[in-house]
Amino acid sequence: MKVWSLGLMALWILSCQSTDKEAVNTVVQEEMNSKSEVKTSTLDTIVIEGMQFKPAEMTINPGDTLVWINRDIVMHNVTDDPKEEWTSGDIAVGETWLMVPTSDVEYFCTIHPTMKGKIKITK
Amino acid sequence: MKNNRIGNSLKAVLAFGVIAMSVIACSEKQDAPVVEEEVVEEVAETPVDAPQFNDAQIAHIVVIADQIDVDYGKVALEKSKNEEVIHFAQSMVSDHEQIIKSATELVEKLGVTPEDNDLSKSLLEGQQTILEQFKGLEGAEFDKAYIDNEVAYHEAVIGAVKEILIPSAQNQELKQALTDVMPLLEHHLEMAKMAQAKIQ
Repeated sequence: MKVWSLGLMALWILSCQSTDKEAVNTVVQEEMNSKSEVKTSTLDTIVIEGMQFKPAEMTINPGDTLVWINRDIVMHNVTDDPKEEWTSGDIAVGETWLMVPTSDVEYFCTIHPTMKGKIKITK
Repeated sequence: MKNNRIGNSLKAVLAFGVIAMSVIACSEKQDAPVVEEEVVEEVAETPVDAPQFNDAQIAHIVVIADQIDVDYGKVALEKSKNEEVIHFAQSMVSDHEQIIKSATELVEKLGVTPEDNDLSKSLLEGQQTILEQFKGLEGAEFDKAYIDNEVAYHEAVIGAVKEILIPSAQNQELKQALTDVMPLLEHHLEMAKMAQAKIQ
């Protein structure tokens, strides 16, 4: 339920954003259970354009949500490198994909294998 | 014999590049026009000596050039058993089909009807030669010919888009679309060269 709430909130925020192509960091407030405790997590954006993940390397905090936005002219995907243990599946032009990494991640696009990215999580 | 066939194949596909370069060479022979200093900047953005294709002709060239690579990819998917070649061909078919779709949507939006021209005719003639040669090749011989052709074809197309089509385009949206496709074409060339190194 919380994940859905976060996802919906993230998409609402994205829909309100301008078409600025720079990576954006948006603070999302996630309501934690029924108490008044509020925890903040960050929504970090990686833009796919010009056959690159931008930024190609990013450091995030534990629990942060990543969103990939495909602003390129062809379909891409985000896939575990090199074992391909997980994948976003196809991300069509104009579409987004969300993920909350639980460990450091290296990924690539299987359609265009030289497109690579790295995510590091602060300890 | 094998090398001769592949050599002929490359010559045929490079016809696109040769034609493109010929057009550039002819245009370079023209005397540079005398321009007033204050209009130099405008001339630099739209060179007066650029080979001229109108937007309707450019639209036709783009669609034909992409369709040709889709066709080559589909032949490779039918004939090849090499994982590297199959993966590359799948990417070419998928990407170039998307470009054709985008290009078609753009020309419809701009109200442009793609217009047949010497360059697109020459591309189609070159394609027929290549497809005929592919028919006679199997296994590793086909894989090598297909990938070598992809390297040569993408090199030629990149040169033509950069040196001819972008400078010729009049509509800014079309010019931007051509500019936006360059990273994809360059990436395809890199992928083709990587595949070429692996199957040698």
